[in-house]
Parts: sequence; structure tokens; C-alpha cells
Amino acid sequence: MQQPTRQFRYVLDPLCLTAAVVYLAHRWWLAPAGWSNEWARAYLNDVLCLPLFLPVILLLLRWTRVRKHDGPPTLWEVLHHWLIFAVVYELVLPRFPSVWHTNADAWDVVAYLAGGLLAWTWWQCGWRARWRRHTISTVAASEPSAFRSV
Amino acid sequence: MKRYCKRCYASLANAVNERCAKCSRAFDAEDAKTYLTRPFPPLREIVTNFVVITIVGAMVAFVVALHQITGASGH
Repeated sequence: MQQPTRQFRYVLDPLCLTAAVVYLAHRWWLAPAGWSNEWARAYLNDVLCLPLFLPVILLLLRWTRVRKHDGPPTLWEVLHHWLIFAVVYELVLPRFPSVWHTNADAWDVVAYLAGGLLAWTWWQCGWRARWRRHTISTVAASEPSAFRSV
Repeated sequence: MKRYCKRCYASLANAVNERCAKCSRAFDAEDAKTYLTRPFPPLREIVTNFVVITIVGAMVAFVVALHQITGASGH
């Protein structure tokens, strides 16, 4: 049976939207209200980086036809962009402290990777769950007897 | 000669009506330009895509960094 097209919704992907909501909620509500902690203030944005911006980048690549499919992000895409963000934020920008006001932090790199891998796992598992539901509904429609109780 | 889909790199051995069995991309068995002979893109395309992806990703990263410069990110 041919697999259904894995339609990734890019910026409308639920995980991407959730990451945006979490970022905005933390930035404009939780942190100012004092309902945050040291870890969240330091690393939450880094963990949300890839789940939030990878779909945006992939959408741009899709529009330019560099990306040739609409499936969920592959592991290679996650790791490639993890490397890009790590190099830009931890190697390039800290060399210009008068402009970018940022310090290199190795734990930021870990946070980017953790967010990226968690997001990749979610995207892959989410697709598998939809595929199972599609398979069950398709079989049920074509062979109702297969679901009759014995 | 083995043929592979130019879109999903699947083998075209099981193609039906000259369409890829996996992604339904059409190809012409008589026209070598419509399929690949290896299950991956040419090296030139790989390198080009890698460079373009890196540039686009870095541009987005810099845009986000600009957002942080303004102090609006809270980071």
C-alpha cells in the first residue's frame, strides 16, 4: 500500500506554533511576572530555537525548490541547522561583542541540539501515528469484515 | 540499467505506467534526463544545496540575532 503524502505544515505545524506560544508567554508574561527561573531565562529560548525556526527555514527552502518534498524534517536537516545555529551564535557573533552583546556558551549548543532532537522525534512519531490511523481507516473502509468481532 | 526517481530517489524497477511507485513522479524510460542512475543526486547538486541551505539558515539566524540586539527577545 502506498504511503500517504507526509504533508508537513511548516510554520503552521502544531509544534512550531506551540514553540512560538511558549516563547511569547515566557517573554511577555512569565518572566516579567517573576514566574520563571534561572534555567528558563538562560536556555529556554535556545531549546525553542530549532522547533521554532527550522520550519521557517524549510519553508523558504521549499519555496526556492531546494527542498523537494513536504515531509517532516529529516534528521539530517535538523543536525545541519543545529550546526548552523551553533556556529553563528557561539563562534561568529561572540567575536563582535560590541555589536551583538552575546557570549559563547557551550551549554547553548547542547540546548539547541536537545530542542532539535526532541522536535525531530515528535515530528517523526506524529507522522507514524497518522500513518497508523490512515492505515486502519483505509483497511476498515475496504474490508469491514476484518474488524468484526469473532 | 537501474533507474531511480529524481524526486525521492526510489528505485523505478517497480514503476507503473512510467510513474514512480513511491511519489508518482513521471519519467520517460527512453530519456535519461528524467531519471537518475544512482539513488542520490549528483555531487554538484548536493554541494549546491548544502551551500544554499547553509546561507539561508545563517541568514535566518542573523535575523533572529538582530531581534536579540533590540533587547526584545528577553534573552
